[in-house]
Amino acid sequence: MNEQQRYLTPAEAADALRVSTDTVLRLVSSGELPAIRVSPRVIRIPTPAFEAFAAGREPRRRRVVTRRSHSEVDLGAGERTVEPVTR
Amino acid sequence: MRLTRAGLEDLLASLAELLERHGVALDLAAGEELALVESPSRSLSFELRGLLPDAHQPPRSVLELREVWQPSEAGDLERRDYAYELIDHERGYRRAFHLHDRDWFVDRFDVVVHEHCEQPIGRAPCDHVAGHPVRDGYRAVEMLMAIWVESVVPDCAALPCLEEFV
Repeated sequence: MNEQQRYLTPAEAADALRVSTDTVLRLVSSGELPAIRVSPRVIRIPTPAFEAFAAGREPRRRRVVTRRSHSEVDLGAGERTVEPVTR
Repeated sequence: MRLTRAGLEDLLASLAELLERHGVALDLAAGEELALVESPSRSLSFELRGLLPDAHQPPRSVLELREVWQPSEAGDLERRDYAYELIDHERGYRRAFHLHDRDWFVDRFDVVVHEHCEQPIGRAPCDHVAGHPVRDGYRAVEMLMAIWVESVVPDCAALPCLEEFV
């Protein structure tokens, strides 16, 4: 299976949206269109982010609830199989 | 990094929103609530996990953010641990940025944070890679997305291995 291209340049995004590159840069700057700033002059727009934007998919803010657990969370649990931790 | 409980709830909702803006399909139904999990020691943790669209159906690239926050003496919450992960099954690598078991890592390697790099997945030239602290979950999303969009896979063997400095 062929890999999809994973990012667009601002010019490519502008072309696909039929707007100017400046407009795309404004959308990036305002945060409406997520982008990765590789360097001060290089911006990449992840393809999934572009597709979500172009499709008008606006995420809805989700509510946060608290659940109780009977155990502590241990983020390093999986690593200790490699090297047992002794404290 | 410190937050009030309301600030932490806001962070979690904002991170979920940011991931969805990036096109990440979260492991949640539309409108499903996000959960902060409170442990017996009153620490609060969350896990956000989702798939990045790739050429496969269903997609196989996984992005995951996990954080643990503990009450501070000042009465607010401070981030104690984190694990930010990208597992790119399409290109066959894993990159991760971790902060956990702080005392053990300080004793053993004189560092607080570490990273992981596997390429192919499951095979790492080094168990723990030296790294820098990740400012927050927003920065983690930026870093992981920057790795994901790259056309070349990470060169794990070129990263500084903590075990070599012991």
